[in-house]
Amino acid sequence: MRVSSPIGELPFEPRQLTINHRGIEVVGVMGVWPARVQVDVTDVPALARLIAKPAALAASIIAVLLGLRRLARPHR
Amino acid sequence: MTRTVAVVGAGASGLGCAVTLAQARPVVLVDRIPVTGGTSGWHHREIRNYTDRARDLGVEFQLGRTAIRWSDHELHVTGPGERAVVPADHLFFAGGLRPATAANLGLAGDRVAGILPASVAEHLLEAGVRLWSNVAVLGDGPWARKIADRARKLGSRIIGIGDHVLWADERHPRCVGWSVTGRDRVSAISLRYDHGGPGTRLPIITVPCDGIVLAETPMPNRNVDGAVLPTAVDVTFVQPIAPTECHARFANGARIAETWLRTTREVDAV
Amino acid sequence: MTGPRGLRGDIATCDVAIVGAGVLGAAIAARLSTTTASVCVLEAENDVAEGASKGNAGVAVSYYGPPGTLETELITASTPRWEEITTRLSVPYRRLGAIMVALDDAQAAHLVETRDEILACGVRAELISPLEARRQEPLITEGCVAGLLMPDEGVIDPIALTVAYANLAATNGVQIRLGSPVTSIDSLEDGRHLLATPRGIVRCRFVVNAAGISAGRVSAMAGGEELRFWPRKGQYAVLDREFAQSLRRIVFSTPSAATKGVNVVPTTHGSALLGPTASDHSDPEDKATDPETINGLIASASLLVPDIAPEMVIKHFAANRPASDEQHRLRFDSVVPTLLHCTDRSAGVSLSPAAADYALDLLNSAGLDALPRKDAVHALPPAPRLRTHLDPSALIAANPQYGQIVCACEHVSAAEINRALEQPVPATSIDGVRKRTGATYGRCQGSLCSAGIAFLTALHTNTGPATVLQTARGSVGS
Repeated sequence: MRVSSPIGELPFEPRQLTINHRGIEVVGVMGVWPARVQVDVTDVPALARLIAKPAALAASIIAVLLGLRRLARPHR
Repeated sequence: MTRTVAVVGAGASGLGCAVTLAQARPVVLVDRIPVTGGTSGWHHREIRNYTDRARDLGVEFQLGRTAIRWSDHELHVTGPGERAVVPADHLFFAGGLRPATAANLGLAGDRVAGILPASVAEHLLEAGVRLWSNVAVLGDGPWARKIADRARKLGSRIIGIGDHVLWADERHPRCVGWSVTGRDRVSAISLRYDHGGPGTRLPIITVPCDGIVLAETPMPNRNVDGAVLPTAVDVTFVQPIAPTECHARFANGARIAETWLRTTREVDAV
Repeated sequence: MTGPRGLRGDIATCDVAIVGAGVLGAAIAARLSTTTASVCVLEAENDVAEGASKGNAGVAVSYYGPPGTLETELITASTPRWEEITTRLSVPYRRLGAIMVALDDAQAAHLVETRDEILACGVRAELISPLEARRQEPLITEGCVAGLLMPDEGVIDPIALTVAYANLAATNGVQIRLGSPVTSIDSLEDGRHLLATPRGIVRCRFVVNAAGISAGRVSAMAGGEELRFWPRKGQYAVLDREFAQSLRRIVFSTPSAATKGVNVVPTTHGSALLGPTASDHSDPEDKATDPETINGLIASASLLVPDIAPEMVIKHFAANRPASDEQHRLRFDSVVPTLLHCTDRSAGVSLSPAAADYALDLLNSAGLDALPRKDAVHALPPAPRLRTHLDPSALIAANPQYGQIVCACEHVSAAEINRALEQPVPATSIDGVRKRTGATYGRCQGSLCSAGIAFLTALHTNTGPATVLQTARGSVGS
């Protein structure tokens, strides 16, 4: 994966994906430097707003994310 | 002459200034980081609250832009792909604190790898990688305890140099001077005592270590040319060592801004 | 393939092997790189400019010693060339001029002698009144009783100069081998030399000994003359730019019989250097500063410029000049005719342009037969710096990364940091980035930006937070 930033284009190589109580965590490396991407459940609405068309695709992706959210809270 | 006031630093102190100033003047709030919050963090509940209030009051945010010079009532600001000049009547500089440097501390000796300012050590430790076996943390500044705790979790032994180093595994209080020994990287720190080190009459003891973290005496960070010295013209520095809590810093910034507004109103009225 | 002593490894063949990538070795490499000669540079440390070339006052002098010496001739020949060279190589330089300050009658008398000697070298110098001295440089002490104006002295970034020489050489195909200390030198039957390093063997016709403090060892390995070298430590203090930028001239103290004295030197970063001190010792690895010497340095400097105060010091450091029984050498060894010594105690930067030309002449006269190459590059791409650029908006419009500040104290942009990490002889450590850009050199000494610079350096060198190099010799973590 590549992240473009004001200091240049940075590489991100995902190594492990986990679902925790906050959401989704992707642990990886930028080069050899440990790095982490955290997608929280509170980020879901913002992400959903970015998905314009088609509505069906948007709905199914949101459903998957919400489903994962339910999975991440087994005590419910 | 413009009525705009520029605030550099969008942490708790700067937000406190901005929110207060915005009730009487147009305000431009600049920070080199693309989010507000400074050392409190952008996701801090109070910071989000203060940021919303500033926005509601019409503060103009210029985040992700670095202020580089203050001269002739103009603040020069640079960001990726753009450069701007902000005319302002006055500058409130709330640019935060930094650890004392080796020069500030009179830390002489060899200049070798393994000596880090606390602010840098703090960032590097966030990567979760063990950096040292035995690290000497010099001083008890705001960064020291967090660094000690995090480094210990990663497997390092913590040597504390200073009078209030309760977070250390090995403590060395009451020394009056220090210097570094090492060839390619630091191998020891030598401590000088007025009346002999603890348990010894020797004036100098040598403490082996493989890293030194400078965590002593927070000092004001100053990076805007023309707003460095206390004699800088039309600049108010808002960089308190205490208080440290987010809401207390906000209140302190607000109070300083309020005082300034009152004095300028009085001057204008004359 | 094995050579004498059963050495194994790749053998690279070239016409000239240069030992040492300080300012003199790099300058000769750059000069030779525009000719048909094949050149290899062997540097012991992991970066160029790690010895005296890294730790000096940054003065391109017009005058250093009495007339009639080769050193003086090379300095005098180099002096007029700085604007052209530094423009072509994109190296910061300012011909500020210097004022030597006399504080008493004895010093004033010495100024007259110095003026006469400078004129005898064919260099400009003019005695001026204390009033005129303080008109030219208002920060000079009221205790000044006489002044000597040396209008052709300049300040340069000595590290940027060395790196630029190395970048030019590398662009033209010179192999620059870092981390390659020479461990033995053997002679082949045809008169060529075999130099062994941990990273391979180099076979060459000529050896240029530009190894600074180690030049004696190199000569011994090659079977050459016995050259005596010892470290002369100089300690320096760096003053904050907010004060130092008011300085208009270099301020020299009047030298005495014992020492050349402590100077106040504006740098191309806008800061000022106080120093150097001079103390001979025996351990070339000892580059430690001590508080007594630094305090003495500040006290001496404030005799010249009273406004100087200890609170202005943002850094102190020490470096060892390669003192030797001969202050300057640029000649072939008397025993080994293809071994060319190029050593200088204090003025290497100042004479590097002319020394490089003269070294080429000497090598050609000894049979190198190097001719100019039409396809050689003589200039480097412009290396603009945001802090000093005359049209920063245009710079940022051309490359947005110039607007992204990484080092807030010194206003060093991401474009400059990336350039340092991607140039022909790139930075491979945080200190290497500092040497090429000035980042972390400011009043916070890297408190704010080192983490970001460590990250960028790590990405370019494929290292992590603990393994990224902080200096050429040591990583951040242990």
